[in-house]
Amino acid sequence: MYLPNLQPRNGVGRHDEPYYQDNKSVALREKSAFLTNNHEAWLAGLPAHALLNIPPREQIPTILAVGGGKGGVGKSILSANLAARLGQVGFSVLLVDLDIGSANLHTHFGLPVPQKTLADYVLFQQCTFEEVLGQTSMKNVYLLAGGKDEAWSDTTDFSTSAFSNLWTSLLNSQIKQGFDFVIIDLGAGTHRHTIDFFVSAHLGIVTVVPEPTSIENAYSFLKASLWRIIENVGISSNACAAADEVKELIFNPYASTMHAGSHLSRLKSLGGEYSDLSKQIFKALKGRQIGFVINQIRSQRDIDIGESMQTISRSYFGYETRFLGYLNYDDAAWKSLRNRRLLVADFPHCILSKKITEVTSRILKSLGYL
Amino acid sequence: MNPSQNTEKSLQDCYNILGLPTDASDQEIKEAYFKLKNTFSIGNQALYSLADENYLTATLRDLDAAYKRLCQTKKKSEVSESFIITDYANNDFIPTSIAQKIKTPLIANGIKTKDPELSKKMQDLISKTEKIDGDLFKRLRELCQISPHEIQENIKISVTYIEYIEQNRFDFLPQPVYVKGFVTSYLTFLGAPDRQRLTDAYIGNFSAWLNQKNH
Repeated sequence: MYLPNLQPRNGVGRHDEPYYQDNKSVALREKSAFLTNNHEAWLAGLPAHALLNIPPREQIPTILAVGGGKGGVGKSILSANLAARLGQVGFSVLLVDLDIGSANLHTHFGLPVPQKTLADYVLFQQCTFEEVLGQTSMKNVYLLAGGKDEAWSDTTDFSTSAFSNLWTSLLNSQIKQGFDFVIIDLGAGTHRHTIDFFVSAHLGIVTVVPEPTSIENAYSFLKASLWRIIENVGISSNACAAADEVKELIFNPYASTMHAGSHLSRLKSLGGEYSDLSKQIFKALKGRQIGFVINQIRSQRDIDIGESMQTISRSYFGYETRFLGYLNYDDAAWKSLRNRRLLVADFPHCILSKKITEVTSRILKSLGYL
Repeated sequence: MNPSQNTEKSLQDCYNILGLPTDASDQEIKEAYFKLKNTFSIGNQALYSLADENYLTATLRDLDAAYKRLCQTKKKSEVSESFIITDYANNDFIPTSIAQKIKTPLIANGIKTKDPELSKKMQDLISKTEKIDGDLFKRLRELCQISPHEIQENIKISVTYIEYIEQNRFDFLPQPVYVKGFVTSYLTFLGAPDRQRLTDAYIGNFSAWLNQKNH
């Protein structure tokens, strides 16, 4: 339902209204069970380049990555508004636009194309990490904006090491800049770098819309993630050759003696020479969470699809999955984009804003903050 | 292998298949079973492009076997279990037999209870009561163990109006012609005997009150 906005349109003041009255971030962080218990398992599954020089666990921000395979399913809208909500609760949030080649997260905040972008930092290495960070109109939210998309086209096959500086800076951003959360807005598709950042997050959020194309891409995204996790485990435990064999067994069952069935059942039946590796893979799978958000729902049946996908991914791939909620189909989404203002600031009372709040609180719950 | 150990393990597996802890209640088992059965039904949109039919058939077969096995174990212990629970007074415990009766789907004309014993009880209550008013309706409803919210869900009358009817708060109710419809479907839903007479009496009271007020 669209509610007219009765508050004055000018001024930034409205953006700064805290959603909750008190600032609880410090107390909440101390309670986080996830950060203290599962961290080692999480480290086991990091990309190879990120495994170098990992700082102590108390000093890493919580990393959320929003992906989903298909384009236009609401990844950017969700990550921008999620960041705003977390900022309003009192967390310090860094939002990273990693939609390489078609970055537009700054537009969601009504900002112009920034002077310094991700390309300047990662590709040209012309400036420091601090210089790329820009303030937004929302309280506690900082944006590492993309842009200069044409710059990436010369280096289509840039190496993973190009991102290793960025990754180190993100991990250090808790100590140096004081960020509690890093939210990574990923691009469409299953590019190597997209998957890299998705599997390195504490919580990977998969956005889907209730359409076969989106569902199909979400599953291919999850398959690519599983592939990458196995590869990472192989690299971190010095068993690359074994990891390659395992990948062949799990993803290509007809070429081997493995039985048909789910990826999980094939993983479970790995034994003998692979038992150490499969133990590590399960540890890595348990160490991270995959959350599902179903977007543009119009009926209860659409919500059920999200819940079903959560159950199916758990039993088919073995991920630690959560259903994080649903977002209604709402005209406020495109209206706020045309106003070039953030949705939760432009239409704070619309149903979509409320659903984003619900998703935020479920995310905090699943990470152990609430 | 020790046979008892074998049973233990497979029972644990059954709970794992349903994704439940071993101390899950009957209701939880039932709900988990229906949810998973829906999730893995062939033709579920959410499975698109992922699983083939063989995998789904196998999963559903496992699911059915697990549920059947759990039901069998429940049947054996049901008597003792219900005995234990009923020992606690005021625990809001509804015996399974009645709970099932409440859960049975609506019959086309909206009559929920066709239990002759219950109708007899209702008949007794009605004949004992001298004054026909909302309080009688409330007691009939409580006899059927139906909550106002359940009535609201089924006959689509706001729970506020149901409460006003039961409290005889005529000043908050709409015109008698609407209330007549409300009361009729309310009593039909309960399956109360002698519905026509009760409705007429209630509306008679209401009209009398209105006349007095307008006079």
